[in-house]
Amino acid sequence: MTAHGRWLRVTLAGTVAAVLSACGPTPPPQAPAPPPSDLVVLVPDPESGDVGRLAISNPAGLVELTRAGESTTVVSGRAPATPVVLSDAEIQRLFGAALAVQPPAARQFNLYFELGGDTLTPESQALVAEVIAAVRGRTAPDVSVIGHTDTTGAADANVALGLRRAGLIRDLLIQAGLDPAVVDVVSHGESDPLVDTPDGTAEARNRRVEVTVR
Amino acid sequence: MAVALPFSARALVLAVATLLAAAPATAQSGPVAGRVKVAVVTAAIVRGGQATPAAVGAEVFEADVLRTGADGQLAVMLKDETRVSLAPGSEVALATFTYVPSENRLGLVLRVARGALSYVSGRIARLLPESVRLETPTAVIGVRGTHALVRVEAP
Repeated sequence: MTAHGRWLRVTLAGTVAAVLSACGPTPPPQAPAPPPSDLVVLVPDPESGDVGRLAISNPAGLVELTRAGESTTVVSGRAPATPVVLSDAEIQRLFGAALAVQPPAARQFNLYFELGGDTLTPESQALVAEVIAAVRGRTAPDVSVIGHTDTTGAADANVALGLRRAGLIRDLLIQAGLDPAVVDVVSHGESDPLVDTPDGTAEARNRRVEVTVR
Repeated sequence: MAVALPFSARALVLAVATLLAAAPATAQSGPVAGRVKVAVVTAAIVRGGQATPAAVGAEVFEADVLRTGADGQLAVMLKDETRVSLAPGSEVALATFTYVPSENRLGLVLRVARGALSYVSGRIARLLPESVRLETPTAVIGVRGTHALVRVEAP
């Protein structure tokens, strides 16, 4: 470094120190910060657009939100404030970063089987490609596969049959590239029918595998 | 103090150290409650007081705390299809997660400590809405099947 360079650096450092000391040491008086508050907003369901209901309560009171965009503010020790509707722009400003990473809704599929075995019906055979597409469309899918039967045959045998049906679907998904570690397979046998029937009833809608893609 | 170890012993120490580093902070006995679907650094899962960077696909368990740094975002889908996503600077505990529909054992409590969160109901809220609760430092939010946004200012 040249002598000149060194001088410049020393001078700059001195100037910065002088400016900083001019700002201190006593900060200008400030209004006390408002007490921390919480904000709750009711928004429509991202897929259906349905608007539910939120009940916000504490020992001091209760407020219900029932309309899209309605919000309440809560300060410690006080009842939730009278609801106020927020604009979409305000909701985006406050929650845009959380909404931006909200995952797509889980998807549900029912695949149906021929009587007494693990052969898919032709319609459901065609639906398998759609299930695979739903799995591939996600960055980190995890999948539940639940096998069901109708009430023909013994309950024990039906648990085994439900498991065989679910296992078949699991294998198809793994062949399509799904990581085996993210698939849960269970059988409910004949215990969780889609359509209630007497025992010993062949019912096509109950011979199914439910696939949930999350 | 430096101790000279035979090569095989050193290899063993290294292997054990690697195993310890790879193991989750605390052993988990409960069932998997959900999985991380989106993670933008910095985002972490805090388990037993120990923070681990949240990776896409990572498992989440009851009692875990989800945390995002000043630039982080994090999204989780729980087994019942509940969706929870966090803006930067947020911290949310999965205080309760019970999802055994066959035995009608259901419960979900999310405790928001700070930041901004989007919550979309899953099956627990549809099957047993009174078992779902979002908590903030100032209030308790009961959910009747829907999408809620919650923001908590750090004290």
